[in-house]
Amino acid sequence: MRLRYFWVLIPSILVLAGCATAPRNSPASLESPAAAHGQEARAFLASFDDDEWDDDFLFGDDLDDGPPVRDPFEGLNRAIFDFNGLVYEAAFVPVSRIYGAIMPDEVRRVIRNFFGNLRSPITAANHALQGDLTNSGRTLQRFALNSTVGVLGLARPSDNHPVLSQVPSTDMGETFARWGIRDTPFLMLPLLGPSTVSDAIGSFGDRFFHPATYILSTEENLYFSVAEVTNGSVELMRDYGAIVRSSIDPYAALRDGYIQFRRARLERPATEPEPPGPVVREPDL
Amino acid sequence: MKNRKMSLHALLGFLVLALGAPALRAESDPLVLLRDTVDTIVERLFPDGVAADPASAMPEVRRLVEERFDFSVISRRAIGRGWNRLSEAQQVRYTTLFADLLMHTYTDRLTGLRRPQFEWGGVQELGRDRVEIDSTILYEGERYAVVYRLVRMGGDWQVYDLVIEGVSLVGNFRSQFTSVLDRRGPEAFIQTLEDRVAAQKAGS
Repeated sequence: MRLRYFWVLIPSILVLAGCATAPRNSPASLESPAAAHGQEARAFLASFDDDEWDDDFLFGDDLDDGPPVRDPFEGLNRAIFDFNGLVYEAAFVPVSRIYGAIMPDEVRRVIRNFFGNLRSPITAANHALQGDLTNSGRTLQRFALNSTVGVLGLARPSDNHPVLSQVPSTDMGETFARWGIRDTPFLMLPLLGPSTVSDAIGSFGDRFFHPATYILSTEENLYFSVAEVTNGSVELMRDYGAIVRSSIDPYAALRDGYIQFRRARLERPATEPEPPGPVVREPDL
Repeated sequence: MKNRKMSLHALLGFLVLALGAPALRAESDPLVLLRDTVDTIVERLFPDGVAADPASAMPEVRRLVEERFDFSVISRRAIGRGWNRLSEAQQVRYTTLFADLLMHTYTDRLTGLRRPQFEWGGVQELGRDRVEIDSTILYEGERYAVVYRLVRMGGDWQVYDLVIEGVSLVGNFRSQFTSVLDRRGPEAFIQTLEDRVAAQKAGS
């Protein structure tokens, strides 16, 4: 859940990161945008003639953005995005409001822990498929600890062990990418949101590593998924609303956020090194 | 032998204080500057561990952010080469509307949030007068990687981009702006920005 929907958390993180308001050098008072047409704004624009505003600095990231996003189905994807928006407004938003009002934050967090813990076999299997046996083993240790001491994953005693709590999550879409199948066309999935062809196939494959697939019947699995989505719906809908309200092209914002997020995960080293122990020694002079 | 080392320590310490202090002032260290700014902002935003009333906290928070975030660079990079497709009047309009968009987006999102914790990582040189500072935000049991990008302009370090779990704030805006500019042209781009900002104001 965290992985698929991470991009929608970005507005919250921005606030937490301290970028909570409009930054400096604004051309005019934000309370009176009309004043922007005045002298101050013109002086501000003139500052772009300075030598330090060279193309490399201003647009360097344009060149580093990686291969362009492939979106051959953009027309269909945008139609599905609009459809999803209607369903979210009609069904998800009311459900999330009622659910959020009934369930205290703490209870929702415990339930989120439970669902998250059950996804551990997916993470462990994919670390192994990527050849990262260290993180695969750590994920299984975490699964064992949280399922037993943490009472079926409701608590996360693994948080007290940095080696276990900082194991990165992964999935089959990432496994495909590490095998060389990457930059496949972008897809907007009905109800589920942004993905790519390889990520969508990967999520289907990941179901085979989910314990519920083997423990529950098909119908029970459906209820299980509905419960998982409902529990996460409060944050999901809050952040979906924020994205839509803050974007002039929400579809493009989601597509870019999803692709940037997925690409960044591939740059992460396969295994984090063990944190060094305390070193006590006198410096040589 | 040990005494001699201690004397050397003392001497070096004195030399650093006496000769090096001007060069080691906090103002010259982008990490110290950024950490101080973020700490102070977070203290104002979450005075008792939970979000303050935005209306009362915002004036000072805005002043603090204005000291450390360079909006002129952020807005210009957010539109990239599309800047040259705007007339001068449209450029002025764009810069104002973008400021409005950012402000309204992030001021109404505090309710219900709790004070996050920060871990600061290393400083990497990106090139002449540009650095990247790694940090981790710990919030409700999850860890989020946030990278601040800073540039030294006029002797002062300014934030010009934030990269959150690999997603660049500026890059994300640029993808939207480019998409609208390409599909609908500059006039419709400005109009869409105006409509969005007006809708935000109506909703708040």
